[in-house]
Amino acid sequence: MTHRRAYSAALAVLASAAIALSLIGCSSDNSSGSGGTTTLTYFAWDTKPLMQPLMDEFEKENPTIKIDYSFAPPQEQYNATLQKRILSGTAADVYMIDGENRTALIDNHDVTDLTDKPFMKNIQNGGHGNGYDANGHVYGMNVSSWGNGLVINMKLAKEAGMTEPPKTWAELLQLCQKFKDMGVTPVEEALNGNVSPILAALVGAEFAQEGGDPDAAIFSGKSTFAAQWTKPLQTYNELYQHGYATKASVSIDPSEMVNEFANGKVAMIVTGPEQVAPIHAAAPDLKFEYMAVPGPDGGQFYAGSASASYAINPKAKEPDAAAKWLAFLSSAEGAKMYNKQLNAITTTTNFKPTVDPSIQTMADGIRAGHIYWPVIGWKRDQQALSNTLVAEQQQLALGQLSPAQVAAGLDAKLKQLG
Amino acid sequence: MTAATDVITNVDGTPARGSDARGPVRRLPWRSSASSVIIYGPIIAVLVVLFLIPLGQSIYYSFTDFNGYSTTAKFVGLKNYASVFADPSLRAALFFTIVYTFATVIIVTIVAIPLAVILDQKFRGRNFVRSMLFFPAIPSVAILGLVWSFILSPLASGMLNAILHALFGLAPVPWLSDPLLARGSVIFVAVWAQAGWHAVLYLAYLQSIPRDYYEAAMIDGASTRQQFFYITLPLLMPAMLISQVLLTTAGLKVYDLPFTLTKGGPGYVTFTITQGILQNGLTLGQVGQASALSVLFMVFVIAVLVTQMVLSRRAEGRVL
Repeated sequence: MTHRRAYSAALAVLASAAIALSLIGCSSDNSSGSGGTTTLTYFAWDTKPLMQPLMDEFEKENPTIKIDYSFAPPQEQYNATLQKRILSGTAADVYMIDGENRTALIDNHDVTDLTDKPFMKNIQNGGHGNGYDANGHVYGMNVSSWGNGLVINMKLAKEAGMTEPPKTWAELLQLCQKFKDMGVTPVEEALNGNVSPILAALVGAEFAQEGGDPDAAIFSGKSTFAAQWTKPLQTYNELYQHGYATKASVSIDPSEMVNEFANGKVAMIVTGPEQVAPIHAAAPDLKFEYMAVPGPDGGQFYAGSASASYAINPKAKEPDAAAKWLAFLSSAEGAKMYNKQLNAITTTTNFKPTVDPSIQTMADGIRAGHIYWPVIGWKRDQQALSNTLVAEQQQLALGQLSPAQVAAGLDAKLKQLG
Repeated sequence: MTAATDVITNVDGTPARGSDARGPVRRLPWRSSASSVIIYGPIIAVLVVLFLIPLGQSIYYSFTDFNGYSTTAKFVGLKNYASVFADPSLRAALFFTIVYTFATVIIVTIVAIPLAVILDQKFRGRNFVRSMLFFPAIPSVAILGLVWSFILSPLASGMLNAILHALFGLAPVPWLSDPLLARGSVIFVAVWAQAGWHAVLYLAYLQSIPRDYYEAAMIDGASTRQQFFYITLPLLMPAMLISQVLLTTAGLKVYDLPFTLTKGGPGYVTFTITQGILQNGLTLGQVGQASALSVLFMVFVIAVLVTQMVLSRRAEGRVL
C-alpha cells in the first residue's frame, strides 16, 4: 500500500498545482459588477493622489462607472509594463501613449483612432500635429503640453546689468560672459541621460524659421541630420567652447542642478515648471523667472511638446466608458482640475490654465506652440535616436566630438536602423 | 523464479555481477521512483519553466523581428546578429564590460586576500571591523550607486570635492564627467562593494588551514612573508577559484552599479552589455536584436568561464 500512497500524494500535489496555476491564469471579469456598475480600467503614470480628485469627480458625474486605477512610473518602466500587458491581453481600457512608444503602438494597431471623437474638438487642431497622429488620424488625446526653458536668478541678473531677457543668442552669450566675470557659473544643464533642452529649443527655432517639416524631410530621405542640425549644434556648442556651461553637466541630475541654482552658485539652469516648487522650497527668497532660449536670429523657443497623451485600447472592455473618461479630461472642468492637481500647462481650447507667475511667459509660449522636442518630431526609432543623441551631446560638451560629427552620428544611426 | 531478496549467482556459485555477496540484488522499488519524482519534479519543473523555455524563446526571437508589442514575428535570419556587431554603442559596451570584469577580478583579489589575513589575526574590535567590511555587501548595489553618485558628484558641492577643497584647496574633480575618471570611479565603487565579501570568503578558507603547517614553517625558520607565499597563498587556491568565478560572472553581467552612477555615460564609456540588452529589449522594443545580443553574450560568458576554470584548475594542480 506504501507505493500507492506515494502515488496518491504525487497526484494530489500535481492536481493542486494545476488548479492553482489555472486560477492564476484566470482574469477577473471587469466588464460589469453587481448592480449594473461598469468598471473602467485606467493605467496611469500620474500618481494616484494627483489623479484621485479627477477620478472622484468623474465617478460623481457618472455614477455607474468606477475607475480601476493602476500605475507605473514614467517612462521606461511604464512602457515596459504596458508592452507586457498588451502582449498578454491584459492592458487597461485607457493608457498613455508617449513619444517613445507611439510608433510601435500605432503601427501595431494598439491604439484606437480618435480623430472623429466628439471630445477631440476640445483639443488644439483636433490633435493633429501633436505628435500622436499618423497619416491624418489622431491616436492620442493630449490635454497639456510641457516645456523647459532657461531659469534665471533675477538677483544675479540684476547684478550683471540685465534689464530684460536676452532677445538673441548673441545677447545671451554676452550675459553669460558677465556672469563668468562675476565668478558665477553662467549655465548648467542636467545631461545625465537627457537630451539638452537648450539644443532642442535651438533646433526648434531653426526649423520654425525654415518652415515646412524638416523632420519629415530627414526621415523621408530628402534631407539629413547633417543638413538640418549642424547649425543649431554649432550654436549650442558655443556655450561649452567659451566655458559658459560647465562640463560637469554631462553627469549631473536635475536635483543637483536645482540645488546649485538654489544656492546661488549658478545663474541659469534649464528646466520645467515641475521645479518651481522645489526651488521655492530650497530658497524661499530667491527671485527667478523662466525665459525662452533665444535663437541666433531672434526666435524665442522652448524645449517641449504635447504631453504624453491618453489613448483608448482597441480591445477595451469598456470603450464607451473610456470615451467618457477622455471627454471628462478634455472638458473645461477636467482641464481646470488637471491644471490645479498636476500644475500642468493645459492646452485645451476651453480653458486657460492658471500658472505660477514665474512661468507665465513660458506657459504663453507653450500654448502658442513655440516648442520643439526631437522625440516628438522624429517619425520612427525615436528612443534609439534619442539614446544616440544623449551620448553624442555629452561627447560634444566634453570636446570629444564636433557638431558636424554629432549630426553625422545621427545620420549613421538612422541608416543603421533602416 | 527468484524473489527480489534472493542472491543471484553464477553457474560456479560465485555472486553474479551487480549482486552483493553480503546481501541480495537490490531492484529499485516503485516507491523510490515516486519519491524521486516528488523530490526532483518541482526543481526540474522550475528549471524548465524559468530557464530552458525562456532560453529557447530567446534563441527563437533572435532570428525574428519581434518587437514586444505584436504577437507575430517575422523570420529575419542573421540580421539581428549582424546588427549587434555593427552598433558602435554595443562595441563600446563590450570593451568596458571586459575592462570592468578584469579590473574588479584582479583588484578585489589583491585587496581581499591581505584583508583576510589581517582579519584572521586577533585584535581588539576584530568582529566590529569584520562587520564593517562585510556591510557593503548587504544593501542593494543600486542604492550604493546612488549614494556614491552623490559622493562623487563632479560639482564643487559634491561631497568628495567639497572635502578635497576644504583640506587641500583643490578645484572640483570631474569624477563622473571625465571619461577616464568615470570608468575608474565605477571600478573603484565596485571593488569597495565587493572586497569585504570576498575577504570573508578567504577568511573562511584561511581558518581551515591547519596551524601545524605554520608551526612547522616557523621551526624551519620561514619568515612571515615566506609563510604567506608558500603556505597561505597556495592553500587559498580553491578559494581563489571560487572567488574569481563569482567576480567574473558578476562583472560580465554588471548593470545596476554603472547605470545608477553614470547611466552608461559620458558618451558610452561606462555602457555595459547588460544595459545594452535591457535597453534594446525593453526600451527600444528591439526584442529580436536584444535576444541576439544575449545569445552571443551567453556564448561569450560560457567560453570565458570554462577557460578560467581550466586555467585555474591547472594552476591549482601545479601549486598543490
